[in-house]
Amino acid sequence: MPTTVAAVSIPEDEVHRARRIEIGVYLFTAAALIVLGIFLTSKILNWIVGPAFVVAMVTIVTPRVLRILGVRDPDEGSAERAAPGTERAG
Amino acid sequence: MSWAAHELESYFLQKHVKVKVSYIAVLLGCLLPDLFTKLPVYGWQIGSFTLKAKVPYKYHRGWPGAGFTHSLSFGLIVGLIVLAIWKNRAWFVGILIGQAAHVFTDICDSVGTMVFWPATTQHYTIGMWAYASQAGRYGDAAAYYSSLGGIWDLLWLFLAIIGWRVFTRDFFFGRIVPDDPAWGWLRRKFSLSDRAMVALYRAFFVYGGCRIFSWTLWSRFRNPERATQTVDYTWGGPSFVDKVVIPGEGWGTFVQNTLVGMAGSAIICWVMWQLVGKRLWARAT
Repeated sequence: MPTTVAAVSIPEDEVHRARRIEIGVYLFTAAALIVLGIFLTSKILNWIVGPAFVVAMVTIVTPRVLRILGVRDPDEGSAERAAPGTERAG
Repeated sequence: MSWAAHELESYFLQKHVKVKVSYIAVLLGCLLPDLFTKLPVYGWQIGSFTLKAKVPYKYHRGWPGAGFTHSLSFGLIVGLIVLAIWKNRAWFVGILIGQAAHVFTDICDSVGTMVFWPATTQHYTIGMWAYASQAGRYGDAAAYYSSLGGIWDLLWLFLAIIGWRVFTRDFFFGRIVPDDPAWGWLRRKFSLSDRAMVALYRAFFVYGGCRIFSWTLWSRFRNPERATQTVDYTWGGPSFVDKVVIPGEGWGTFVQNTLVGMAGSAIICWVMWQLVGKRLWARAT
C-alpha cells in the first residue's frame, strides 16, 4: 500500500501528530456543520454547500492549526507532486 | 425518499465491491435519480418563476413523470452514455452500482420505485416509512427524521463507520486514486494537495453523517410544528403526515407484473448490451 510521503523529510511521529490534529479539525468541522445545519437547514445542508464546507474547513483550518502548534505540515507542497497512486491510474 | 443514506451507501459499496470501480461514479450514481428531480418535487422559486410538480410523488416516482430515473434501466442508459463519452469501465460500473443502490434503497418508503420500468410500472415498496415530499422540504424532513427513515440513515452511518478503513489515506491513495484517472485530473486541474484530495473524498461522509443529526435536532427543537410532529417509530409512520400510498392490485397482478418486468428488463438490457454496450466496453479501458 503506498502512503503519502512528505515533500520535506519529517519524522514519523510528527507526521502522526499532524494527522491526529487533522482528525481533530474533521471533528470540529462536523460539530460546526451540525450546529449550523440546525439553524441554516437547507442553505448549508445541500449537496453543494455541505461537502464544500467540509473541504474548505479541512484544507484552510488544518495548516493554520499546525502552524500555531508548531507542527510541520506533511502535506505542504504536495500539490506540486504527482499524487500517490496516480501513476497506476487508468 | 431516503436522505443521508444515498451519500453514505457510496462508501459501503466502495468497500465491498471487488471489481475496479470509480468512487466518484458510485457517488454520482447514488445521487443520480434525485439529481434533477428533487427541486421540482419540493418546489423552487426564482422571482416570479416557480418550478413545482403538481403531484410530487407522481412526478418523482411515477409514470408519466420522472419516476423512470428510479429504475435499473435508467442506470444502464446513463452508464452507457458515460462509457461512450469517457471510455472508462470503472465509471460505467460505478454509475451502474450506485444508481441501483439508490433504486433499491428507495423501495423502503411508502411509494417505492418502478424497479423494472419500462417493462412494467409496478411500484416496489416495503412501506417502512411514509413518503411525504408533498409536505415540502421541511415537512418531509420532520416526517423522515421522526420515523424509521432516521433509523435507516443511522444504519448506513453505522455501516460506513464499521468499514472505517475506506476513510484512511492508505485506502484512498492505494485503491481509490489508482482505480480512477479523474483524481489525477482533479489534482492537476485545481492543484489539489493530498489533504484536499482526501477531504474531497471524505466530504460526503462527513456531510451525510452530520445532516442526520442536524435534521433530527431541527425536527425535535426548531421545527415550528414539533408539538404535533412527534417521534413515531411504527412501521409506515409517522402518523402525523398525510402519507402517500400506491394502491395495491392484489398478489396475482403483482406476481404477473414482476415476472413481466424481470423478463422485459432482462431482454431490454440484453438488446442494449448487444447493440451498443459490448462495442463500447471493448474500446474502453
